[in-house]
Amino acid sequence: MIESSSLHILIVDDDMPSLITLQRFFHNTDHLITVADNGAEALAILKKGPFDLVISDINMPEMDGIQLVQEGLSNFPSLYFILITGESCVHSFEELTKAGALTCLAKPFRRSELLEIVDWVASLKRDRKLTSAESIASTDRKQAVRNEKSLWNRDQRFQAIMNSAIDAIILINSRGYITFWNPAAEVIFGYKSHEIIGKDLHSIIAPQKYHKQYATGFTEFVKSGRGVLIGKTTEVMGLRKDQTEFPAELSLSGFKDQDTWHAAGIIRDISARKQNEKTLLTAHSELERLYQRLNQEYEIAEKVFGKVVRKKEKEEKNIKHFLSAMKDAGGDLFLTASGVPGVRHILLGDFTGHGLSAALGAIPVTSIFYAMAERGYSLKKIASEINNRLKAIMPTGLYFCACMVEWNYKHHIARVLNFGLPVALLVNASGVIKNRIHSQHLPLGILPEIDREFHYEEINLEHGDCIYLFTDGIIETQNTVGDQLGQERLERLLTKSQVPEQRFDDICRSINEFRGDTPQLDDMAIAEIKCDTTVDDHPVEGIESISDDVPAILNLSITLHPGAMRADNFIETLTDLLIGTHVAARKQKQNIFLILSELYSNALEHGILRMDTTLKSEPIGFEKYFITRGEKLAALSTGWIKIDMELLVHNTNGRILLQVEDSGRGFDYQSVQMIQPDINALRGRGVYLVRSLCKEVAIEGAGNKVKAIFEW
Amino acid sequence: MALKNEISADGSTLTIFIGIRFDITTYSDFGDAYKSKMDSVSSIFIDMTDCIYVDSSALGMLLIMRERFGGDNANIFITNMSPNVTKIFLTANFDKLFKIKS
Repeated sequence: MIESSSLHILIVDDDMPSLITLQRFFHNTDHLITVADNGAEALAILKKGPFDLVISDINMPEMDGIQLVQEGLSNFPSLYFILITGESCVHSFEELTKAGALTCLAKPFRRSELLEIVDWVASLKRDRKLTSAESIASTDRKQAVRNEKSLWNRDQRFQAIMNSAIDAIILINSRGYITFWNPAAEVIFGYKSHEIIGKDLHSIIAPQKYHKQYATGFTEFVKSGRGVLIGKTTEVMGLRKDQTEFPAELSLSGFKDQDTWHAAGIIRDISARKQNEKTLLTAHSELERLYQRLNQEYEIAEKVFGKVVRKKEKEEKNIKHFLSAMKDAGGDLFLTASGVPGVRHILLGDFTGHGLSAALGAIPVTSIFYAMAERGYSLKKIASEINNRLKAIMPTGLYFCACMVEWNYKHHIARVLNFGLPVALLVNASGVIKNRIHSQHLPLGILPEIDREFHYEEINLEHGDCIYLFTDGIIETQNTVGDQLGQERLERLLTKSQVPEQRFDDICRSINEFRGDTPQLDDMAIAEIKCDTTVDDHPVEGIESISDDVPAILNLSITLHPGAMRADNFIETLTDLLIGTHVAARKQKQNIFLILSELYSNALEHGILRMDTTLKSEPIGFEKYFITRGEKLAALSTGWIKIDMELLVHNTNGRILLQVEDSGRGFDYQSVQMIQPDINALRGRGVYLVRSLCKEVAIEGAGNKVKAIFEW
Repeated sequence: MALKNEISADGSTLTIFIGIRFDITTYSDFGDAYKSKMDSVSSIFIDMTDCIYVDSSALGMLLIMRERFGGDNANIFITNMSPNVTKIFLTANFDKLFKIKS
């Protein structure tokens, strides 16, 4: 390339985008560029200073390119002219060169094509060897014709881009007046191009409060071409024609023209985006609020859970358990209760789900379990009741896997019912697995009614035997490479532990070691029940005596009339009512029931119904006795039985005072001897049993009142 | 609450599962549980697993059953009694009449 000297070039085009494009072609060249957007202005500028080259569009209103060449050359004969032609150009190449143009260039053209010609002009200027315009014109003629069509396309494309841009494209001159305004600007700001071109940009499209700021910035920009916003994309506020403000993103760049700084701005209306951001922010804070509420509900669930499930302060003798919940309120449940002396009920269960759903299920399960276990109901009854209640209240898909153990620690028998939990294991003192108790039943809460005759595993325990219960979470524990712990590995870990006393802690630790850093995927629970034949006293749940010095006293007095006498579960209810939750009394439940039942039966059958006891002497008579009893009871219309009870519980000791009186006329009790009846005799046994249990039994009045004192 | 019963696979044993209560109110159910089956079986098991409330009429009913099932030759086992119920049965010397397994 020929070494070029700097040229002073005037670019003339009425079409602003074309003008900008042309001007941009000279970025990073040594040439000094001045622009004009019409012929008259161009001539005026030419007069101001020496120019080397004029590059001008042909099609311009008022004064076209050819006129400009002619006028220009008449004043400045040494000036070179390059004319830009488009498809709409009606002049031939010859006409143009005759008019005085050095050459012409058909749109569209590449920057390199233009610069090549400019370089050539520069060399002409340097050598002062310009011969004639025709000499090069002929070489370019074919090229020019060839380019005619595509030149036009490029211009159209450029226009199309400017017109179809969704961003406002605005140019201002050094005085801050708008010199270009594209259709998007019209849409965004509401001003038509013709009503805003030539007006002060900032005072129109910037909100009042920013005017001072813009004025300062713009003054600096005009001086130096620099400014805080130049060359950057900034968020600003725009002002529409209807005086509404909107958030906008402004990309600003400066360019120098005729020694003054102009600015080109691309403005994007971001009010929709801002609106979205606001919506998102609102949604986020809503989410935050919901999350907090969820956490609050988890807390509530946890509290509910904590209240229904009695937390054990101290480790229970020979029963160990470990629960690891994923969330605050996990879905795993471990319960123990005692009703019948010598028997402990243990439940380890796993609800589908966590948190609230699990807590909701835990309430009935826990209350049923405690209430029934403490009243001495059997495992099967408890399981059946839990199942029916869960089925009634829980939505389908929510159920309860559980393993229940009825542990008779005096006779060393354990009955195990497994409702969908993993295999429970019986391990002996030397670490050998003696028995595997597989799930025998569907989880609780699925079937509308479970068969009451369902099978349970009965195990005779030896000293040191341990029963292990696990939830799914244990078996499905994953290690860092995604392997599950599995039944086999669990059994290996369990039997590996050599010291029976440490086995439970060992297995918990082994499981944690296996899991490593893997996040916990489910609630995990494990329980151990250990048979110890050397101990036969286990703690019992419930109310202990109030204090060592103050005994708990309860008085109950009740009078029954015929209607109430016909209710057949009356004594059972009364027994429960009397002993309530007193641990010491509960241990005596069967005895208390027996005494109450016998005294009540005597009052009813002999005092009120006046049954003939001799009937009971023969099996046939017994049957007759029973039928007669029913008939008389149904027909009964008068009479009463009054029962007075006083319960006193002091530590583990207690005393019950009973007095049963009836409206009957009594009997000659003096003649009845209280001796042990013949063991085969079908009657007279009740009174004997009462006497053998009670410290004192006294018949009073006309024989219609009996007092009994039972102590333990 | 109702009583249940079942006959072993070989037909030799009748097992009666007593409900929570074993008193005068169970009289009919208890009789129905064995009367028709008594002739075909050689032993009867009374399963007391669920039983909490026992009174003297239960003892009476058991005695009637014993008499009907052959008296001193009756092969009747009473199983799974709680300690307190066992004590009641022992107080009545029932261990001399029945085979008691707690």
